[in-house]
Amino acid sequence: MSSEVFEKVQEIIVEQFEKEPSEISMDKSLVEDLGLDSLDMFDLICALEKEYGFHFEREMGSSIATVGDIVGQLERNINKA
Amino acid sequence: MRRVVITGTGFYSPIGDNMADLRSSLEQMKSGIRFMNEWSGVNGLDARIAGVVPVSDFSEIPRAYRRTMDRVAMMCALSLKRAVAQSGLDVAQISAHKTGISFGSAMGGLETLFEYAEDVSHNSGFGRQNATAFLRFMSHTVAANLAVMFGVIGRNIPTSSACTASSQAIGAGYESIKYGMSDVMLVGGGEGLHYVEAGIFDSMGATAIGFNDNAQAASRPFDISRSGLIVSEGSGALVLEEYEYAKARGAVILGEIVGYATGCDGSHITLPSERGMEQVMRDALADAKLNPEDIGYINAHATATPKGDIFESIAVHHVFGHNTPISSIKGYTGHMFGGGGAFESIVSLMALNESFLPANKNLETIDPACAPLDYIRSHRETKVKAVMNNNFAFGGINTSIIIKKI
Repeated sequence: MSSEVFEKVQEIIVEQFEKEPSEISMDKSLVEDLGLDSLDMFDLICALEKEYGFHFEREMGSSIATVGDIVGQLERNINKA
Repeated sequence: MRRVVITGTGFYSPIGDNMADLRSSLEQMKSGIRFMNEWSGVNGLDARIAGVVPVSDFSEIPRAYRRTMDRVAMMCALSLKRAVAQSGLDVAQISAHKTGISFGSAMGGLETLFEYAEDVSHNSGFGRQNATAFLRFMSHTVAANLAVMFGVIGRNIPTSSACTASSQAIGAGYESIKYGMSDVMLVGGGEGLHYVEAGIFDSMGATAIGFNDNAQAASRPFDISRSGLIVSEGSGALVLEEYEYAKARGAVILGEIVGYATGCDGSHITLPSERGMEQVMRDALADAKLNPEDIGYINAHATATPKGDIFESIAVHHVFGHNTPISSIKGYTGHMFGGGGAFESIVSLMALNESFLPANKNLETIDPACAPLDYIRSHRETKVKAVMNNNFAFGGINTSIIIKKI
């Protein structure tokens, strides 16, 4: 499942933030490597919520630092559902 | 007294986004108004034609800035980019403490606002809304976004007075420089097209009816068969500088703003007052220390509404008599609302510098209820020393700008 979720996250980041797919890997920091700021982070979470149909608690946002963190959060939510 | 000069312009309009195309459209009397196939699914609209800027790719603006911009801010941003490039101002001069900005629009980011309201009401509630939506639709979205994109740290004066939003922005810039608060002001405004505007003005009986199948003939300022305005979009940006500042850096000076006035009718929320219009023109002339006969061309507001054109013509007649050439270019563009004042000031500047006075498009039979004026019927090659651009907005807000050769 990890690969499938990663590919979707990658697709959203590429489309929303005009990045190249090759720039995005599990270990990349959203802020330091991909250059996202706080507004971008909220918009990314919003896009993921729309894609997956569940709500990220606000405090969850502060525990997300890398692409891998997002993939992990999504997998945990998918498994719960 | 500090003098205020124009050193750069940029614009988007339904009849061109550069001076050559603009002049060509005006010479050939080509309108940028067309039937809106895009609105076919909208119920209840009377007016189904609009003035459209045929540009949709704004990727020239870096994403970091574009993410918080609606169409209106993007058109203004690229207009200003061109104006700054023409002025030759460098990054350090733009980011100086005494460089400011004043930009406006009637509606803010209407497209984003409409989508946001629709999504909140019918789909997602507030659970899944982008953090950037408000920044795209807020009323001062243009001034705020442009200040960030261009790195302006001086005064920022957003304007939002509908049809005078960008003429008041020019005025705010002019006064900021004249009275010593700024050396440079980046000024202008715009409007993005949305069918909501057509619906709003339909509801007030202000849009032209009977021309959905003849868009070129729809906007008819001062003509007896005019039936209302045509909604449109566009933007205008000007770089204003204090004269000595511009001269010291060797800038090419396009013209000097010598007079500006703004006033208010204080009488009716939509019905214009000839007294208020007359007063603002007299105030601008007094500010410029010019007499009416010094003005060689008047760019009228005239939106082709049944009453507005009459009141405006009477006010002009009171101030100027019947000998000053006058035209409204809304016959070509429709009503650009927040973009109109700046764009029409740029057209007025063109009249001054190219000795080219545009004609009133679709003026076949002058409405006898309009005052006797020198309505321009076909464009003229006439040298003029000073021009006046007038704009009037709902709420009885009036502006008059006078530009002179230096």
